Amino acid sequence: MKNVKPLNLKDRVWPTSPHEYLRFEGEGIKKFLQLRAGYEKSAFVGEGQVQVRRLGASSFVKPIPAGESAITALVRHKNGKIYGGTSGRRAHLFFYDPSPDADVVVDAGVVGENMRITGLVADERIYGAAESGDQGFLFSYSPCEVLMKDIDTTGKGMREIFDSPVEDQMFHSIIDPCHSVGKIEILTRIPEAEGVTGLVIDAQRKIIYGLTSKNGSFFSYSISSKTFSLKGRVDSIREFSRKLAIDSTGTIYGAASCGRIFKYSSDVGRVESTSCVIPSLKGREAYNRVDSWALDEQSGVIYGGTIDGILFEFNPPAGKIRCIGKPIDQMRVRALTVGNDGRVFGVGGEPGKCCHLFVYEPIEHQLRDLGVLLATMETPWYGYEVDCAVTGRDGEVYLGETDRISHLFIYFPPIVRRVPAFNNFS
Amino acid sequence: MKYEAIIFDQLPMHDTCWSLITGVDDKLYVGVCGEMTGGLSAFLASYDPQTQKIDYHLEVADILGFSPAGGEAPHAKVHYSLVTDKEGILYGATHCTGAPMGDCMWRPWNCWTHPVKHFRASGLFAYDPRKRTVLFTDWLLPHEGTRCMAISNKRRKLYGISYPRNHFFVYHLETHQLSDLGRIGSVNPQCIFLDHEEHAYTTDDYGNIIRCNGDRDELESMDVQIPHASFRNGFHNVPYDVAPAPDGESVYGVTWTFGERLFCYHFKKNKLIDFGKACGEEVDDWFHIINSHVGGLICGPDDLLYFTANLPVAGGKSSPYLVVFNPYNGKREIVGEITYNGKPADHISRAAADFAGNLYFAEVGNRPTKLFKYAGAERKTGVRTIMRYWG
Repeated sequence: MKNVKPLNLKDRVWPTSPHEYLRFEGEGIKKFLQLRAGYEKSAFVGEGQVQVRRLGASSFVKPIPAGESAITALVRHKNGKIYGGTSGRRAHLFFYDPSPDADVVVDAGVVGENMRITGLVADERIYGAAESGDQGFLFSYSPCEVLMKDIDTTGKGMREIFDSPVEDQMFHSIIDPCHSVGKIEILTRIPEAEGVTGLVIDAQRKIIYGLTSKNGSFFSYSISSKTFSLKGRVDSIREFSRKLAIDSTGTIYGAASCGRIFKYSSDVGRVESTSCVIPSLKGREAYNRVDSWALDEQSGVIYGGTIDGILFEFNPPAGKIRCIGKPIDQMRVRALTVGNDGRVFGVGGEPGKCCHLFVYEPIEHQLRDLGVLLATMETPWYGYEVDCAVTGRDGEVYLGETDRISHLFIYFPPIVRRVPAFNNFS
Repeated sequence: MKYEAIIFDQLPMHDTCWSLITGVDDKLYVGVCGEMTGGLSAFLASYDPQTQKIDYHLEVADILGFSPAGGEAPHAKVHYSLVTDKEGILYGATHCTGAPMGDCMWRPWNCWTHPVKHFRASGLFAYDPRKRTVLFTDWLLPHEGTRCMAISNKRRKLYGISYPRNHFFVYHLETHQLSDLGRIGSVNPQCIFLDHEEHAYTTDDYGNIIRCNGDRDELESMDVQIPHASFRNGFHNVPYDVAPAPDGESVYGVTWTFGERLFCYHFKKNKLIDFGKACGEEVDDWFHIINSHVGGLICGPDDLLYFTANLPVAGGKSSPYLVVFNPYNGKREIVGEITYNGKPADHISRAAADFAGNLYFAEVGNRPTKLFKYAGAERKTGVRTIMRYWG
């Protein structure tokens, strides 16, 4: 409790108003107004195009509700659709069909209650990791393309046969708008009383790999034989990063304590430590974690982002790590993906603050902060919290928002202009 | 129309009065703000209808222990976040967007992580005007201002909305604990209003009513939407100002620009009554927006609703007019233009009434900062006055 001193306002010297500044005299005020107009916009992504999609075809249905819509995992299926998993009171699986006749998000169903979907991978089906309290699950989603193989038309009527779904879809036909979704199934519960995270898939061998979230036990799940097997802890003192990466040979990488890279290959069948250590701010080595990974399928390079907000490049065959830099003045690289042209797009920033999109251009060795996400299509929306990313078939970048009300952000990077043949053409 | 201007002449560089409430002591309390000049602090001032004197109570930055000389974004505004409890204690929370000392512009996204120019957090203060004592101060959501606030007397908590991230929060006055209930949209509603049971209401970006259940501190969708013109899709249909109706069971409200829609919301029936555009014809182009505004809603002692509407005047500009609306027959009547020294006022944010039935309207966007007092509303017997416990 504090008594307020009487105010003496009569003798107060007040600051000057901008339009009275000497430096803004005459034309100066116009220059200031131009500066101000640019300033207002300068914080937001200003190159390419940013859009959002609600988590539901909003012309017809309610989107996935607030508190259930935080997108915590994204994956691209070979059919071109983007599948996403949410977290919250109920965890949903959804797909986004980018084709022009759809361009909507469809809620494919609820995976569980009070649940966080921590990872999604895809082959013919979608496979997911989820945790709820102290329990971890693996689940699968079979799209209609898979389910149709088991459709038995024997004894069915014409309409029933004709209505059989053959693909996941949302079709805005003026003849008969229709949509169809597949089936979610729980595959297995993680034996230890803990969650599950860091999902990757070796699609050739049909094996899923992951980590248990408390103890950091590395596990595999054979899709063919439906067997779950623990392969040992990735770190003896249980300090580890929750994310895994897989290269094109099927070797899996992760980070143990102090950011030391470990690997697992099915040939060896156990977790091995390496000499590679991810970059860190000085003195923060003990806290270091890999926040996100993204494989450049063409070069074989794996990009990583750390909890300090550092972007690095890991070259597995060479066993080398190169620090690229820190794109924004915040901690965390929460989402990372490699674009079709090799540019790396990521989102950095701490929860509760204001995320920024950034880009790394490997050819130019340029790392740039692109700004805060702001879209006006499909609805005006600011993106403050983003936790996952994936690149679409045509090079568009999908970003999963993780807010109370969340959207699927779609970033269309600018198409690089060809160098003009003659100087007088622009 | 007869009215008088009440000038805050000791704050010559301030330019906006965003908050205006009636205290339980029959004084009008005002948050006098300065957002065009860098480094100013908001002031809490009052006007006593009995003595007709202005009292400057406190400099908000000072009581928060904040010095604008350090270059941080200042606590230059108390937006729609000044409330009183039933005992007469005032609670205010600061808002950002004023520039730091010596700067000419500031936006939260640009300075979120700036080591010097960031906005620390909305500063909350509790003040007893009788004893001229600050009871406590606290900080709300980091880096964000508070756009609007309401107080639940019986539950002893404040409801608020942050800017720019638009989070709905609850502050418990006994424990000083803050609960962030999460984001409700992109566009800040300018008002949180309360029902008789002190559940809190506002809307999402499309004017869909959201209720914060006061028992559980949970946000609930009410599945009703504030109407809008048929050519609009409802975006930005957030409440600008909401006044308690004399029946104690409903409120009158208006939306924020883009065809300011006048409505009545009945809490128990969960029903919206559409009164159409608050004043004037619906305009379907973009360019009218800069001159379009409705605010300062208040129920008068004659059981009619008063508000101000900016209407076009010569030179492509606008001027606020006082309008009286009869909710029983839907008729509107323009009482008169609000001017000062022969020039149109800028626009009106909020209104309040003294116990004698005089109406006060707070102006924003002009120097000197001022209230306009209107004494022309008829005093009818039997008309209930409902205290407003929101900003």
